[in-house]
Amino acid sequence: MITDEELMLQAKSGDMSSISDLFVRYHKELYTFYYRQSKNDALSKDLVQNLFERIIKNRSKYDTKYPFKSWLFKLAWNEQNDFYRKRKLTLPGDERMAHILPQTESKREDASADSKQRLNVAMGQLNQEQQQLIQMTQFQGLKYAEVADIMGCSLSAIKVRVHRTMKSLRTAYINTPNHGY
Amino acid sequence: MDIEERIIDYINNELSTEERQEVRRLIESDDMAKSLYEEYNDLMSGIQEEPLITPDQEWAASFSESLKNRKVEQRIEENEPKETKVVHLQSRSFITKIAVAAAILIIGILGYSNINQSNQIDEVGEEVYAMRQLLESNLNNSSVSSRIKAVRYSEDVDTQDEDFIRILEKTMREDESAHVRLAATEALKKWADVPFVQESLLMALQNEEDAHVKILLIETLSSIKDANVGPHLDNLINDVESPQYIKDEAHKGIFRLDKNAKIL
Repeated sequence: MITDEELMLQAKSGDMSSISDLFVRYHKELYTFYYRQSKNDALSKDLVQNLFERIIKNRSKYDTKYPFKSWLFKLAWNEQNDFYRKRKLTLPGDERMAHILPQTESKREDASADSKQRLNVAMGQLNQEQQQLIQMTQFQGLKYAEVADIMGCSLSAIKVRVHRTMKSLRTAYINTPNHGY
Repeated sequence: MDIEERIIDYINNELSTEERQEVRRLIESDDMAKSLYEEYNDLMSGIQEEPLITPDQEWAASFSESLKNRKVEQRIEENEPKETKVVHLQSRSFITKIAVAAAILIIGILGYSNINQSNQIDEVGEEVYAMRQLLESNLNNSSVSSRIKAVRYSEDVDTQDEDFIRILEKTMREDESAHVRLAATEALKKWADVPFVQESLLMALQNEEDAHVKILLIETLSSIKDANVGPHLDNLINDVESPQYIKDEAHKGIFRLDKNAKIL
């Protein structure tokens, strides 16, 4: 199968259908990346579409020596941050955003469900950056070094953030009521 | 680094071979370390087991198709600057100039000989007419991104052409995507003192359901000098069904209106 990097090489030479192939490969991961944080279908789709516009625009800057997936998530991260920065919103933790987004995952009755729902409730209590870190290190399986590159900070800074995030998640999970709430 | 952090790195496979062995020994010999390991392992496994969320496949197929077709559009964009050198335009952005010039060329190719069309171009100016055509055709595109892009082109156009503004105004009220409506509201800011735009913004304020768009409408309306805005914001504040964050924005809007009134 043709690799992501080879598809990008084709895209750089003007073949836009290879961008479409990359969309087919990654749209579920990207949609999940955005949806898990926003819980908003339309917003997540728009962010994915905008991201692919960004890929088309920046395709000449991609260096095929480096893994495509890291570059993709770097752009995905930038797209998301730009979106919220322009609207002066963060999620969650910003009260206004918390009101705007559907709050199904933070409803108290959800807390009495099984451990997966408990985990979702705990995840919902993390701030935006912490959710992004979880998405990248756990869902996408990216290494700390790759995440450091995506977020534009040092490896040691990412380590500290990952540790803090996981500790916060554990605390939130412990504090989320179990059955019989 | 404390043991908790080393366990996190251990599960994330971020330790050297020696460090891994050391943590492994600790987990086997220390009850607290073992308990922490089990807790974090359960948490991380739980996260990793979450399945991917599948968006509706009709959307995915449609966008994938539009990317394939982009091949042609992209080539047009890349080639057009060379062909538009002779066209003098008043709008500010280079990209917009290219887009308008392209539209003028297309119109010219498709039917410049048509007398009625030609008369129409004479009346409103070929630049605005071309821009209107471009905006209208792009706003009919099924892709949200393309529609947003079309709206953004209009931000660089300096015109008072009513038909042109009405296209944006209609988009702000009727587009199915909140993000396109948001972009159209943003674009209409510079025409906010035009009476029919004001009227439409006020109407949208009553009917809009998306919070982002509603907040932008409040911001836009409270920045203009119009006696009708205050009562509309009061209505929002007094409406029991208005969420608190909308009421807060409306309060801020009234504050801005008062401030503007004092300055004026």
